[in-house]
Amino acid sequence: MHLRGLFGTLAPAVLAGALVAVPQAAQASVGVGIQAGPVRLPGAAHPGQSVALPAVSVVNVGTRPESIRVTVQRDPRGGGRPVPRSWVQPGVPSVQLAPHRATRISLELVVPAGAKPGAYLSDIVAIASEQLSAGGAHLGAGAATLLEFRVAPDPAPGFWSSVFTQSLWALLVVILLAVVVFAVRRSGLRVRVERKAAGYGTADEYGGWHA
Amino acid sequence: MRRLLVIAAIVVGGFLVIHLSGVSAKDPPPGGHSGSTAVTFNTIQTYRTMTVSPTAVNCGHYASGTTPNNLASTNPNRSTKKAMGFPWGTCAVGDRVNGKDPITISYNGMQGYVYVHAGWAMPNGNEVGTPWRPCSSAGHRAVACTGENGLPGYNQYTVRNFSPQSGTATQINGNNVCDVNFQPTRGCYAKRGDTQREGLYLRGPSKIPGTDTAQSWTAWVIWTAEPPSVADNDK
Repeated sequence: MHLRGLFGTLAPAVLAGALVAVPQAAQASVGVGIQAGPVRLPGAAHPGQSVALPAVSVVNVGTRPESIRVTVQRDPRGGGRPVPRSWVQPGVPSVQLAPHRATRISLELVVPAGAKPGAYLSDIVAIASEQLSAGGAHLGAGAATLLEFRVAPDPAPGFWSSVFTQSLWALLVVILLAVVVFAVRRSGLRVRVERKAAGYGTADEYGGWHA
Repeated sequence: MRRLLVIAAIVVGGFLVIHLSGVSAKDPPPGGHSGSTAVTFNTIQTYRTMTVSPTAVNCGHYASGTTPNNLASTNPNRSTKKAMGFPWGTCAVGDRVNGKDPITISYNGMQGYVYVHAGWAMPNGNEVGTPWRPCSSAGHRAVACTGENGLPGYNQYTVRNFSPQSGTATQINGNNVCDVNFQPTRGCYAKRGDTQREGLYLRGPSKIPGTDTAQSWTAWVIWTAEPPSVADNDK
């Protein structure tokens, strides 16, 4: 009798717990999102150069914490040269994200020395991948955005070349001015300035004053 | 006077150096008092997202291979109610004929497309087995099934998906392909809030290495939200 009473008391609570737990288990989902705008390198990359790409934003839209990684995949619709996967290195192998949390993942583009010039196009894909569950089929979600950049035909400029380019014009101007000043001094050219005396003295031919 | 000229030349030269090298000071912050007000507003979701529910499903309705290697009921290699047999055993997640499609695929955010591909089937836990690779019965020579009549070959398997609107199940493989079952009337085009229910058929290999002992496997199927092409973006 006592047990029956206890069961009667606990049964509603157990039932309520089950009703809450079952839908949660049934609604468990894996989900991932990525920025809609393409990852685009301003300017061009050069063979043999490593440049930072704009960071890519990813979000966990599933119901559980997820390990999200980004990788490069060939654009299934083609167009442009495909980007080899090894060229793009994420700052971290993967990020752990709680549900409905977003973060940005840095990307570095490493263009090998022998890269062919041209326009490159592929997908940056964020994939939510958790541990394998037992048996059956394991379902995953991914989201992609475009990766676009151009490789210029010339090799990457070196340090000295960069310095030279930046200060080339400045250096030429300074040299030109120095040459002009030197020429003026050597030629003996004089600038004659005439001013009327103000009463305290007279101006000499050099524009100086003396009492 | 000469010194004056030299000084003037240095000043002009310095000015040109600064001007040409692009070195300049930023504008000072505006001074004085000012008033401000904050305006809060919302935008649509700018992420492109894909959600799959549930996260894992069990394969059921196991059946043995079909012609030309019909397995007699006495064949010890035939599929059982709980396990896939060889060669070419099958199992199903859902039932297209009876309208059971247990996997829900949801697309959200900016418009795009839903693509799908299958990954390797891997032995579970510490079990020993060579991964099975998804293959294609038609086209895609690089991933073609090497078994008889386009059936999976050695360590290969096939995956087909279906939805309530699809007339037949569609084979998918390791390459990301348009999931025509997501929107049978519009290809795989997807816009904000589009949802589809899907199911899967799996078929195992013709043969596996004799050294494999794994009896529990997991196959991967991944749906991906793809952006419009560059041409579409530029419109």
